[in-house]
Amino acid sequence: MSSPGSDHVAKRVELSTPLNAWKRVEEGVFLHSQGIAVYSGGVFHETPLCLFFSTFLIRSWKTYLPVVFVLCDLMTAALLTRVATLYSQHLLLAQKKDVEKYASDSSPLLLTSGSLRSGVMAVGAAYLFCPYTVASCVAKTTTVFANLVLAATLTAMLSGCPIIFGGLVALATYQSFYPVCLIVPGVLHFAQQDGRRSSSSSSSSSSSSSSSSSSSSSSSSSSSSSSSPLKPLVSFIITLVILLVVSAEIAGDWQFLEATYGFILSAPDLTPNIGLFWYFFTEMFEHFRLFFLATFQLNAFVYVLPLSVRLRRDPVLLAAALLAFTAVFRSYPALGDVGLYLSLLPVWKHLYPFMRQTFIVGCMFVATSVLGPIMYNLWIFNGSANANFYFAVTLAFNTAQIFLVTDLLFAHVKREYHLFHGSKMEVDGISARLTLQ
Amino acid sequence: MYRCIVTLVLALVWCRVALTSDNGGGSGGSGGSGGSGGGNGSSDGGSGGSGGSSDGSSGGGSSGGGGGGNGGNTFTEELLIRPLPTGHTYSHFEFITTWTAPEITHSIEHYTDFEFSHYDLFPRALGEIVERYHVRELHLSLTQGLWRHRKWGYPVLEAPPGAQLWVWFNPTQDNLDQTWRDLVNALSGLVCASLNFIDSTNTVSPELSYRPQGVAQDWYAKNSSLLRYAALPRENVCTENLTPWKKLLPCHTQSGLSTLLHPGPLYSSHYHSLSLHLRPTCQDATCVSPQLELTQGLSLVQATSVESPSGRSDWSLRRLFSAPLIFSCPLAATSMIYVDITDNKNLTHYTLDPTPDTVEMSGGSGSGGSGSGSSSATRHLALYDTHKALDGDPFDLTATYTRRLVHGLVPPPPLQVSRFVTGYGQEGGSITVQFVNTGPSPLTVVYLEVLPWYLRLFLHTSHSHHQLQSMYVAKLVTARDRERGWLYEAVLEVPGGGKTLELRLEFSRALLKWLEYPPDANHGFYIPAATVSCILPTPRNVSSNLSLGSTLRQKLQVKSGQSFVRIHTETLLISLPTPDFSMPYNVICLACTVVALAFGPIHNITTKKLVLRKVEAREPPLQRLVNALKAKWRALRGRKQAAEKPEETNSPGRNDGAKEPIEVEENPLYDDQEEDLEDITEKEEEEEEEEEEERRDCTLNKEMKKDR
Repeated sequence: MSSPGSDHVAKRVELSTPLNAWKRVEEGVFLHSQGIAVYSGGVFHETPLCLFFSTFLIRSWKTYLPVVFVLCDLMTAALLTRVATLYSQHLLLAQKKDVEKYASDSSPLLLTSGSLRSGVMAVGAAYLFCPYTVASCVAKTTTVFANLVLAATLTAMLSGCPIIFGGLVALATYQSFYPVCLIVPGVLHFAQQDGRRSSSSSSSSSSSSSSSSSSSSSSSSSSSSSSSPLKPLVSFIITLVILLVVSAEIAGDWQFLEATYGFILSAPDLTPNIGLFWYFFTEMFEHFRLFFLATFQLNAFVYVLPLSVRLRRDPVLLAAALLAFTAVFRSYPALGDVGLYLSLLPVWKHLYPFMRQTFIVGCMFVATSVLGPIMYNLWIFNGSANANFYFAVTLAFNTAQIFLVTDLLFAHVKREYHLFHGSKMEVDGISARLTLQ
Repeated sequence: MYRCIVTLVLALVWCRVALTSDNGGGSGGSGGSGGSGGGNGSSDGGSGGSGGSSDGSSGGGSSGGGGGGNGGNTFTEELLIRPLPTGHTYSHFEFITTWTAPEITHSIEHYTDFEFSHYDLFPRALGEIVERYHVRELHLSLTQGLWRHRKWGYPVLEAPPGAQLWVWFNPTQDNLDQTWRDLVNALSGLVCASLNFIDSTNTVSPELSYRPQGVAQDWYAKNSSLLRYAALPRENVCTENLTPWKKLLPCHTQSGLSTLLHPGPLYSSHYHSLSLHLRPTCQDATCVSPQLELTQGLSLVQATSVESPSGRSDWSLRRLFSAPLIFSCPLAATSMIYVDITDNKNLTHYTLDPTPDTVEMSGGSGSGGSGSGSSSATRHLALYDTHKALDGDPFDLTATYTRRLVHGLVPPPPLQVSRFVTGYGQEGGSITVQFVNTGPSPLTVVYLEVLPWYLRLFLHTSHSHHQLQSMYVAKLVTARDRERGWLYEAVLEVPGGGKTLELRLEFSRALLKWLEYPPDANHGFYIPAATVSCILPTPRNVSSNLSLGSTLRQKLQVKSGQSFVRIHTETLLISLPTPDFSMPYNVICLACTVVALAFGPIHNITTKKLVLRKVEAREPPLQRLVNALKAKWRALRGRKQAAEKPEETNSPGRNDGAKEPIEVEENPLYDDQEEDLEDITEKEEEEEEEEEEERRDCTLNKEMKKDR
C-alpha cells in the first residue's frame, strides 16, 4: 500500500478531490508547522480537528499511516456488518408485527432469517472488496474516516442510542457537511422505536392487569417517548457547537468556516471529479452562477422531506437513500462516498426481484468506471480528447447511480404494495399492471 | 541559529544604504569603519538620521546653490558599450535627472510625500504621479528578451522579461492597495503599457528581495507593507512604450544621446529593456544631504558578429543605432560614451576610432587581498565626452576587429540560476530551479517566486525536515482562488565549487472558468520570472555597484569587497487544462437533465400511489399504424355523415367522453433505458408519441363507438 503505485492511485481525480486528498492534508500540516495561517490560503479545506489529528498522525505514526487507514476500513466494514445484522433483526421484527396485515398470498415475499444472513455477510464483504472503497483507502483519502463515522452513526441509530447517534451525526456533519440530513431518519427511527415500545408496554400492562411496576414503567416510557425524538436533535446541536468552538480554539479564529464549509458550498475549485458540479460551473454564465449554485446545493437536500414522508416506516432505507443522493449531488464527490452506500445495498437483497434495471445499471457502473480514467488520461495527458469526453462519462456514472437508487426505492414501494395487496396482477379478471397515480 | 546568520547577511544588503544615512545624520567621521557594524547598528542609525536631518537639509541647500543656475536640477546622459564575448554588443544608455530642492530633501528625510514646485528638467508627467500617489521609490522595467547571465555576465540594470514594477510608498493614512491600483493605472497611461492588468492576484510584498535601493532608514526598509511588487511576464514592449519614455527626457529626441534611439535597430535586437527608476540618493560621497534621482535606462544587446558579412564583430554607432551622433544635449551636465575595454586593454583585439581621450581604470589595487580575483575585477573604460567630440561634425565611434570572432569558453559568473517546468500532462508538475555557484565559498541567496493562484503549490514534498536544514522559508503567502497569488520567498545556501542546488516546487494546475481563459487558451499562461538576490564575495562579473552614486560612471566603478546582485530567471509558459469553449449550453442542459432524472422519479414515488390498472392488449406498431389510418378514414367518413346530420353532434356528453382520464400505461422509468442520454430523450419522445397515438386511438374508438 505504500508502494509507488499508491501515489498513482492517490492522484486519481475520481478518488481524491480537493476536500479529501491526503496530499492536501499533508500540505496543511506542513504549513501549520511552519506557522502559516492554513485557512487563509486555498489549499487546505479539512476541519481544524482533522488538522490536529493528522498532525499527530503524520508526526508520530508516519510509517504506520497505511495501517491506520486499513484499520479504519476494517472497522467500517465491521460496523456496517453490525448495521446489517441489526437492520435484518429489525426487519424481521417489523414483519412479525405486521404479518397479519399482509395479503394471503404474500408468503413467498416474506423475509427469512437465512436469506437475510447472507445479505449481512455480503455487506461486510462488499465494503471490504468494493474496488471503490479499496482504491480510496489506498489513495489515503479522508473519506475513509468520514465513512467510519457514517457507519458508526448508522450503528448507533440501529442499536438505539439517540445521544450517541446525535453526536456522531454532528461529527459527520462537521467533517463533510452533507450528512446533516441523516438526522431526519434518526429522529424518525427513534420516534418509531418509542412508539413501538410504549405501545408494547401499554399492551403488556393491559394484559398483565395492573401491577405497580408495569404502570410505572409505562409512565416512564411514555414520558421518554415525548422527549426521545428530541434527544438526538439536542445531542446533535450540542455536539456540533462544541466541535465548532473547539475548532475555533485550535484554528485561532473562525476563518476555517469559510475555508471548509464555504468551500463546500460555493465550490470554487473546479478540478475535475466524478460529480456534476465541476464542468457545469466551468461552463456556467457568470450572472447565473449564484442561482445555479444555490439550486444545485438545495438539490442535495430537497429530497429529504418527501422521502422521509414516503419512507417513514423504513428510516434505514431512507438513510441509505439520502447517503446515496448526497454522494451524487455533493459538490466534491469521490468514489469512496459511492462505495459506502453501494456496500449497504446487499441488506435489501429481498428488493432485488422488484428492481428492473439492475443489468443496465451494472453495465453502466462497469463501463463508466473503466472509461472514466481512460477519458481523463486522453484529455489531460494525451491531449487527444477534450473535457467533454470525461464529462460524458461522469454524467453516465451519475445517471447510473440515480437509476440505481430510484430503482431501489421503486422496488421497495412495489414490494410493500404486494405484501399488503397480494401479488395477483389482475383487476376483474383482466391482467393489470402496477402504475403510479 | 541559522536564521540569525541569514538575517545578518541580508542586513548587509541594506547595510550600504543604512551606512550612508548614518553618515548623513552623524558626524560622518566613522563612516568607513562602521561597515562591519552596520548590520547591528541600525537602531542608532535611525536616531542619528533624524538628529542630523536639520543640518543635512541646510547642506543640501548650499550644495544646490553651488550646483549652478538650473535650480538644483542636473541631467546627465551616458552610454556604455560593451562588446560581449559571444559576438554580441551590449549598449546601455542611462539618462539621470537629479533634483536637490530643499523641500525634496525635507520630504526624503521625513518620509513625506514629494511636493514639486518648479519643474525644470524633471519630467512633469511623472512628477505629478509621484506626488499624487505617495511614491518614494519607483522601479519600472519593460523588457523584451532574456538576459543570458551565463554568457553575458550581470547587466548594469537587471530586468526580467515582460513588465516589472515595484514601488516603495511613503507611510500614509490612505489605503495602500487602492493607491497602488490607482498608481498602476496612471503609470499604464504614462508609458502606454498594460500595467492595468496588475491586480491583487499578482501583487505581492516580498520581505527581503526588494529592499529600498535609495536612502532609507532601517525601520522603513524593513517595513515590507509599504512595498508593492508586480510583474507581467506577457507584456510586449514596442515603439508605443519607447515614445512616451523618450518624452520624459529633457532633450526629448531633439539632441543628445537620445537621438540614437531609433525604433528600427532597437526592436530588432536580441535583448531590449526600457526602465525607469526613481529613488532618493545622496548628493555626494559623504552623503550629507539626499536628493531625488530619476534614472531612465535603456539596454540593448545586438548580435554584431552575425550581422557583419566578414564574421568580425565590428561595430560603430552608425551600425548599432543606424545614425551617428549629431547634436549633444545642451541641457546635459555630462554627456559621455564609455567603451568597456577590459578584455582589450591594449586595443589589440579591436581598435577604436577615434582613440579615446582617457582610459579609466577602477578596481584593481583596491581588492588586493583576494589575489587572482583582483585582476579579473579591474575594469578599463575608454571615455568619450560628446560635448567635446561634437565640434560641428557628426560623431561616430567605430570599433574594428583584427580577427574573426572565435567562440570560446566563456568564464561563467559566480552565480547562475535556471528555472524550468518538469512533469508531463496538464494535471500537475513542478517548477525546478537550479542554482550553480562557481565561486569557492558557499553563497546565501534569497529566492523569490511569485506565482498566480491557478498553480496550487505543494511545499511539503520538497521541504522535508532534512531539506529545511539548509534553507528556510522567509515569507510564504498562500494563494486564494481568484483573490491572491502565491508569494514564496526562501533563503538558501548554495554550496560552492561549481555545485548545483536544486529546488523543486510541486504544483497542480487548476481548471478555470471558461471566461477566465485568454482568447488563445491553449497557448498557455506565462509565469513571471523568479528573483534571486545574493551578495557575492567578489565583484567579478558584476557590472554596477549598488552605490548611491548618481552617474553611470560612478556605478561602473569596481568596488572591492562584497557586491550585491539581483538576477531574474526565465519566465515560464504553463498550459492549463481547458474546457470545451464551444458548448456551454450543452453542458448546462445535460447536467440539468441528470438532475431532473433524479427529481422526476422521486417526485413520482413520493407524490403518487401504486394502483393496478388494466392492461390493454398491445398491438404491434405496424398494426397500430394501420388501425390508426383506418380510424382516421372512418372518422373522416363519420364527419361527413355528421355533417349530413348536424343536430346529432356536439352533445355535451360526447365532449366529456373525449376528456376521459388518460391512462398512462406505464411509467417511463420502468422501461429499459439506454446509457446514452440522447437515447433516453428520444425514447421519451417516442413514448410520448405513442401515448398520444394511443390517446388518439382511444378517443377515435370512442367516437366511433358513439357514432355507431
